[in-house]
Amino acid sequence: MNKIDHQKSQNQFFKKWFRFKHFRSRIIVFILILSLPIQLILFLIIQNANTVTARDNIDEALQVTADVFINAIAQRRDNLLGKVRALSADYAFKPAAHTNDHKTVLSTLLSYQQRADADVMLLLTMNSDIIADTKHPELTEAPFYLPQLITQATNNEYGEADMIDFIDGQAYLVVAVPLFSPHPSHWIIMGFKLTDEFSLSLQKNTKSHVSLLFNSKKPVVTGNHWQQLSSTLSDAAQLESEQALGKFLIAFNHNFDLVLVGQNFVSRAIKIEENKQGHFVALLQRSLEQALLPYQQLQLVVASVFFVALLLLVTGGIFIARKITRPVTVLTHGAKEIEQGHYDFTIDIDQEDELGKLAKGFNSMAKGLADRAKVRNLLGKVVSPAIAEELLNKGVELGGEERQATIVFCDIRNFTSLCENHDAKQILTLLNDLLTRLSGVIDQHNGVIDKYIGDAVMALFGVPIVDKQQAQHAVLAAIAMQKEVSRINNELVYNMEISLGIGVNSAFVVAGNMGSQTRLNYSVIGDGVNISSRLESLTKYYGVPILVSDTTKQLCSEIAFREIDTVRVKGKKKGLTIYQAIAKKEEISAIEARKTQLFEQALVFYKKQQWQDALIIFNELLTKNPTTKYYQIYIHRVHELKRHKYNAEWEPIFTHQEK
Amino acid sequence: MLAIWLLTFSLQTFANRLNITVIDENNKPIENAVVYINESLAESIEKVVVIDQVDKEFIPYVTAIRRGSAINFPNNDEIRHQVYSFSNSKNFELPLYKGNEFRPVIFEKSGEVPLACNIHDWMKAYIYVVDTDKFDLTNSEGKGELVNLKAGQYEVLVWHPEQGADVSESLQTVTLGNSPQQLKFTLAQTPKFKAWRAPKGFKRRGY
Repeated sequence: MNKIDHQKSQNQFFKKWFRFKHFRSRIIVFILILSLPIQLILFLIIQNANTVTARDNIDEALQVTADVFINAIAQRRDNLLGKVRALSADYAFKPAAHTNDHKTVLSTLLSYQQRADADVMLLLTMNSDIIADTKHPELTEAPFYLPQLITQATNNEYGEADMIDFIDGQAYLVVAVPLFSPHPSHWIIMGFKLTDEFSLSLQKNTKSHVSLLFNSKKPVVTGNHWQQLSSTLSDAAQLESEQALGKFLIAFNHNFDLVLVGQNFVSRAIKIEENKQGHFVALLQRSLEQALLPYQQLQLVVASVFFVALLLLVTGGIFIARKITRPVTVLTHGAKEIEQGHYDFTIDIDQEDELGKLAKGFNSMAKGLADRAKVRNLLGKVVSPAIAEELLNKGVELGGEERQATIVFCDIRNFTSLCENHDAKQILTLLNDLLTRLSGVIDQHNGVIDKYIGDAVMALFGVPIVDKQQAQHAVLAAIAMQKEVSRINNELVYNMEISLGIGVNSAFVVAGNMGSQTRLNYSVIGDGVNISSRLESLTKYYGVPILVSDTTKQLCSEIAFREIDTVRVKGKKKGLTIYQAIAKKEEISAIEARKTQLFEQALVFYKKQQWQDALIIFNELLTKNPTTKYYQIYIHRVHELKRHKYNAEWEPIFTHQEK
Repeated sequence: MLAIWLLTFSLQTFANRLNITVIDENNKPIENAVVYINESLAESIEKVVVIDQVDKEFIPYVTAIRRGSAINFPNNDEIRHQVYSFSNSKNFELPLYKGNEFRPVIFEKSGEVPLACNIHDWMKAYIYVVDTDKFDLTNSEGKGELVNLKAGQYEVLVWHPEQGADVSESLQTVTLGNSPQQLKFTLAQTPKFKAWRAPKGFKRRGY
């Protein structure tokens, strides 16, 4: 579970951070992710190489310094020894020494000390008793305070010794040489104080910082084991150095880093001399920062190259991204244009690459779409849009399917006589206007125009698109068409009175593309179509605007009908009851409802052959509505039937003689 | 030296003698040790002894004399030499000279007298002045002898330049009868510091 959660959150992280709104950002980020680490690694390698080289140089330099230092110390000792040796051989000194008189000897020593530029001078007996000491003028007949120097001298074949040690808390380089007269008769001791000058002279030769320290076994006054004796470092650095050295164990003759007053010093410690109290250490140091100084220039160049390369990469990235995204933007814009139906939009991308090919493809596609749209438009004009859509979607194939459909036939009454009284152009204008407006009404009621047959219109409901309320829609369309014609008549544009007859029938028919392979027509065929046409022609006879079949009436629950008659249809034994569609039930007036009630009552009498009862109602209705043709028809028909005797086998079905 | 030896050899038939061996702690013979009888005879000039200066060296290295004797210091080198001693027995100086300019120096006080030349640090010699006429120097085998001794009891002392202890500590008492006697001295030596010698094979150290 946790693993999945983790993965999810990881995915979300990537989605959040690597979802780009612009292709350009993606390319730049990609370039940066690829190039930055490489450049950074290079930069770090160079920097590291510089540091390593600088350290190597320092290492070498410190080694040289160490050698020079050791040499310098040896030289200094030899110098000092030479001086004392010369003194011990000085014949003038010998008589003075042999007086063994404290004051005489002290005076002599002071004179010689000055001559040798020394800091302290002593004369001892061979038993190490002080005869005179220039540092402690009053001291005499006391044992020498650096007995180890004499021990060392005694063990030397020349009787000579030198060492670094403290006298009154200050470091001295002291030497002992016997006074030969000619037998070794005295010890001559001479000492030089180790001052900063000593370090400075070494620094002059080695260009390294030189410090002389004493590492005491017992902590000195400050609690530290380290004590600076002489140094070329600043006072602050010396203090820090003492403290820093106290904190870790020094490996002699190995480099280590010491940070003093903010500067990193590569340091090397050399043990010079050891005694019971501790040991004297030379600390040789070189600043790492200073050693790196020549490399900083190189580093600057590398950093500049790094930034220039970065700039070039980003600029290049932007350029490439633009090169790619500009055509993509154009293509996106083109796609939007196409979406809005502007198929004449073409893209101009002068490239030979994949994008150029894509643009060409896009243009071909747009042209194809434009052609298709043209066809669709044309098709929509020739056939109903719904049929056109059906054709485009299902393809143009011959053949059909059995479907329930409602067929509406509409015809202009007395069109032939209308044509006779008006010129053709006027008629055509009228016809076009009328058919356009009627087509509009049919469209509004989900019907499709099947065809125009001269002045007649055949419309279909429920095909090709299934419509469960097809019958009701068809009847409502018929009512609306009648209203549209009244409107045209009221507009008084055409100076002629138009009236329509409409027949509506619902039936199972075969719907589909009919005709030849090269020329076909979406239509319906079947008995139901003929019945619809028949109903249309009967409207003139009964003098009603809309006649619907029983089947259609059954399907329309919201519309008020009036039964008109039952007629015999050719080839069918059963009669077909036909109805006049009046209006929507909610819109029907009380008078019309009363008329329907009365008429249907009369029809009941008529069907029962109660002629007299029927006639009374028919006559009453005719009196109130003298223009209603079917009242007259029934009155006439009843009078005819009355003449015959009651016939039990009579059926109230009327057979029309006309077609 | 041959003369002295011949003299003592000729006398040994008339009197008894002491054969003395001087060795160090490592059983090695000590040459140039002065062996002598501890007695206090009056001073007398028996003869003039010579300490030569040849090729910037004193010859011999050690000379034993009876108190009151004189030593002549002829210079046989081409260059001048100086001779000095700050010893308690004889503090003297012969300023730079050539040939045989000075009269012999008389040594009136017993004890050791280290000699040196003030311009040649390594030139060194020792004179040991004794209060007896019975003394000898050991040879390279550490052997010396005291001759012409009558029977009786003697105190014998040994001195040499690198002796660590005081000379009195070497004292041995011996009773001599009619036959010669052997006497052996074992002496501790103090380390002997080398003085720097310039002209011969001198190499500077450490430069």
